[in-house]
This record gives sequence, C-alpha cells and structure tokens, in this order.
Amino acid sequence: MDDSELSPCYYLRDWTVADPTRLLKLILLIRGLYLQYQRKKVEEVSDERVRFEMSTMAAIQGLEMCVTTISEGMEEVNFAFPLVLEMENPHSATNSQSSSITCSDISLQVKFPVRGGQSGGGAPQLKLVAPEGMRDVFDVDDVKLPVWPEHMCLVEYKPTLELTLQQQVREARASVRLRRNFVEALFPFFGHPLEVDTLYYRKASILTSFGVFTFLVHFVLPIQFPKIQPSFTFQSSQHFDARGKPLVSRLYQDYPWSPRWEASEMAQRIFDFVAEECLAFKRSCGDILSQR
Amino acid sequence: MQGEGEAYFSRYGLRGMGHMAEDILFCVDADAEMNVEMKLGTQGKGLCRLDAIKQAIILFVHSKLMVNSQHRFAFATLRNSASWLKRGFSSDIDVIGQVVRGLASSGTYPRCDLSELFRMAAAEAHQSIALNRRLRMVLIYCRSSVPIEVAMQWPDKQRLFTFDALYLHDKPTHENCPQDVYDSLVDALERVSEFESYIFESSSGSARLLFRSMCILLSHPQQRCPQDEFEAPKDISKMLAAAPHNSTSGNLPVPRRETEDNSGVPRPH
Repeated sequence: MDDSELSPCYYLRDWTVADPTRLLKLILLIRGLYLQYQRKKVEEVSDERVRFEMSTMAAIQGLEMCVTTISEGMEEVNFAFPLVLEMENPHSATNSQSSSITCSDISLQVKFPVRGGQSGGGAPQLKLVAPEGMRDVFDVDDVKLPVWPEHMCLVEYKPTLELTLQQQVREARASVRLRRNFVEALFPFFGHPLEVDTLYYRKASILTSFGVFTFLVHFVLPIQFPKIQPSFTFQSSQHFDARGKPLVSRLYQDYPWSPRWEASEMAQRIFDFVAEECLAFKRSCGDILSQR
Repeated sequence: MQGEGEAYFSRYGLRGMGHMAEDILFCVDADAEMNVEMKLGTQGKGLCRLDAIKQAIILFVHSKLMVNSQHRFAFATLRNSASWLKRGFSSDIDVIGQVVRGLASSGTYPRCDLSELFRMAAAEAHQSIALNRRLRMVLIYCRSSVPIEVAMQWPDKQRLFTFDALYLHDKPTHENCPQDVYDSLVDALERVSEFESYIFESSSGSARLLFRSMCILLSHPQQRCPQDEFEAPKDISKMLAAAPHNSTSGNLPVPRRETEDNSGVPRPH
C-alpha cells in the first residue's frame, strides 16, 4: 500500500475529526488520480487527430479529458478547458489595480467521435458550459459558436472563440449598466421602487396609482436589453379572486419601443403607456369580480 | 413634473444597495379589538379589522412572491406576549393561506410586552443571516389603550432584523390613548430595527387604505429611504392633469377625488 501523500491511504490512515480539511483533500486527491487515469486512456487512443490535439493542448491550464465508450468499436474522446476572457476591471478607476482582469468561468467541452481507432475528420461536437448563476447576465446557450472549418484544431480555435466571447460578454456587462440606468430613470414617474434586483437589474417592481386605484407594476428586463424591450404586468391591490389572490393583467411586451431612445425617453414612453392601459386593467378587474 | 423629477433623479441611485432574500415574520394582535368593524365593504357586508388584515396579509404574500419568489414567511400572535402560530419560514402559498385564515382574536389583553417577540426574532435572524437572508418583523396591532412595553433590557448594538408596524385604532377619546400607543411603537422600532423601518397608523376603518399601506410595506428594507421621503405611490391622474402636454395619450376624464377620513394621531416629528 502506497502511504505517501499522493495516496488516498495517507488521508484515511490516521483519520481525525480534528482536521476539517481531510475529507476535502481526500476527494481532491481521488479526483486528481481519476483525471490522471483518464489522461492515460486518451494517450492510448491511436487516432492521429486525437494525438495531435493532445500534444498541442497539453500545456493548457485546467485541461481535462476522458474517453467514453458509446458502443462496440465506437468511442468518444472528450476534452474540456476553461476559456480565458479579458475584461475591464470595473474598479480600476478607483485604485491602483491593473485595468484588466481575466474571467475563466466559461468552459468549452469538445467531443471527438472515434470509430475503430480512427476519428472521422468532421467537426467535433462543441458545447459551452458556464455556472448556472451566470444565466442572469449572459446565457452561453445563446452564443453562436465560430465555424469549425476542415483542418481546424483546438489550439487555433480557442483564441478565435475567446475573442468572440469577449465581445459578447462585454455587451452583456454593458447591458447591466443600461438596465440600471433605465430603472433609475423610472424614478421621476413612479417614485421609489418597492424592490429591484440590484445585482443584475433583471427585475423591478413599483407601486403607483390612478386616483383611488392603487396597483403594482412588475418589470422584467431581458439580458439583451435594450435591443429587446422590458416586459411587465399590472397587479391590483384591491381586486382579489376567490382565494384571495390579487388580480394580475396579461404580460405586456408589445408596446412602442426603440433601443435608441435615451433612458429618460424610454421611461416617459412606458409611463404614458401605463397611464393609458391601467384604466382598462381596472375595468377588466371590475368585470371579473362582477361575473363571480 | 420633469423639473421636479430631475432634481431627485440626480440624487437617487441604486448602485450599492443590497438585495437579500427576506424572511418575514408577521406578528398579529389577538386582542378582541380585532373584531371592531371596518368601513362598510363594497358588497355591503360587514368587515372586521381581522378580516381586512387577513386579506391584506394574503395580498402582501402574493405580491412579495411576484416581486421575488425567494422571500419566505412565518407567523406569530400577540396576547400579553408573543407566541408562534407557524414557526419555520415558508413560501408555500396554500399553507400560508390556511395559517392566515386560522387567525382569530382570543380575549382582552391589558398588557403587551414585546420582549419575547424580540427574543424570537433575534434567534430566527441568526439563522436567516447564515442563509444570506435578512429577517423582517411586521407587527400588526390594534389596541387603542395599551401601549407596548419592552420589559427586558434590549442591547442597543443588537440590530439583527428590520421592524415595521401597522397600527389600526379607534379615534382618540378621553378614554383611550392611541397617541401614547403610537409613540410606544415608534420607540420600539427605533431601538431595534436594522434598516429603515416603516409604520402606518389609521383610524379610518378603510380597507382600501389598509391594502395601500400593506403595499408600501412591500418595500425592501435594504433599498428604503426614510419614510417621510418615500414617494410612492404617485397619482398618475394628478401628474397628467398637471402637465397634459407631456402625455402621448388622448384626453382622460378628470378623476373623482375621494376625501380620506384619516383623522388619526399626528406624527411625533
């Protein structure tokens, strides 16, 4: 039994509850051993293209790989590695830190099918993977991946993809700022909002009234704001269904809109639309109640 | 309207305001004064304070979940002291509806000590904080002659939760003291609340006004301004009447003004 620090036995031998890091170290070690095991299996694949990718990508930080058997004689060699994107540091104006930071939360997964020891030569399957929480700012499923022409290889594809992504992530981050500006521009018309998602500005709710009719408006702002306009619903504070749930309008997302307007113009137009529509909403609430 | 808006616009900014999910503890008075009638409802049926409050709480919960489905709710009742009605925060609207509909008044309580309520809230607040949430307590009180006390010494530095209050009461007479009660509530809020607290009082018996106040209480504590600066809900009909050329819509009828009977207690500031 190998008792060095590179063996799981080392961590299991003198198990002690006094060391809270033991379990994590053990898991990381086993994971590392598994990655090494899979790497050896990929090295055993004789296919030329896979061997080329292995040799040119070997030095990439955070590269992982494995072989999966699909069926008799049919395997898939999988590679995965983080993409390194350069961003402006949002705090660089206020301190002496460097003006750019790197983000490596987005990874690329690549699948090369290998049949009978030979890969096809066609484009591999490509997939972007990102943490679930990023979806509020940027959805990797929306990204149109750069084309993979014949004779393309990973070491060339990676920087092309990184440039494309960098641009799209920059736009997504700019969109956060634009959404915040828009929500702040609502203030002169609707006063203090009740609650705003102050992380990514995807949602905002306000309380307003028309005479004695008090109602809420719930806004949802899309990731591609302002190209795609906000949607919203009205909610009454005075009309309830049989179970006490307040009545809600349909979803509005088809009102006049232009992404080129200033935030203040957008807010004005939405105010005008709300001012006009809210009476129709009040009437329809009244109709629903009188039908019961 | 534009000019006035711009002055505030340059001051008002959302950057840096937190947005943690809330655990909201409703503490509802169980005193017999909950049975006092509100103003006649639109269907002509009598509505007592407790019925209106139940509806208002359900309005609040639905609205809060529409704003953000991560918020959760728990319930306590208040006699001489507070006790749990439904411990454990939940966002299950069916369960919450059952709990709220089960609220009832249970007697006349000549005293009210909030020490136990604060202790309960502080204990829950630690758990909320561990979950990256913040606790808020909303007290709904209706006794016109019983100021609240806090018998236990409450450490000044301990501000673990936000504390809001909704106070429904009778009009002041020689036999009651709603002003003293109101002042005692304000004192308690100021001693204990983590973020800006809001308090509403009314003797008007208007359910509509109650619902309106409940909606203002939806406001997220981490994003609040002082209550006397809170500018919502604005009245769209007044804004349009003041500057009709700013609107792109056609002619709107002049809104009928309803005078509110809100001859409640004056504010201390």
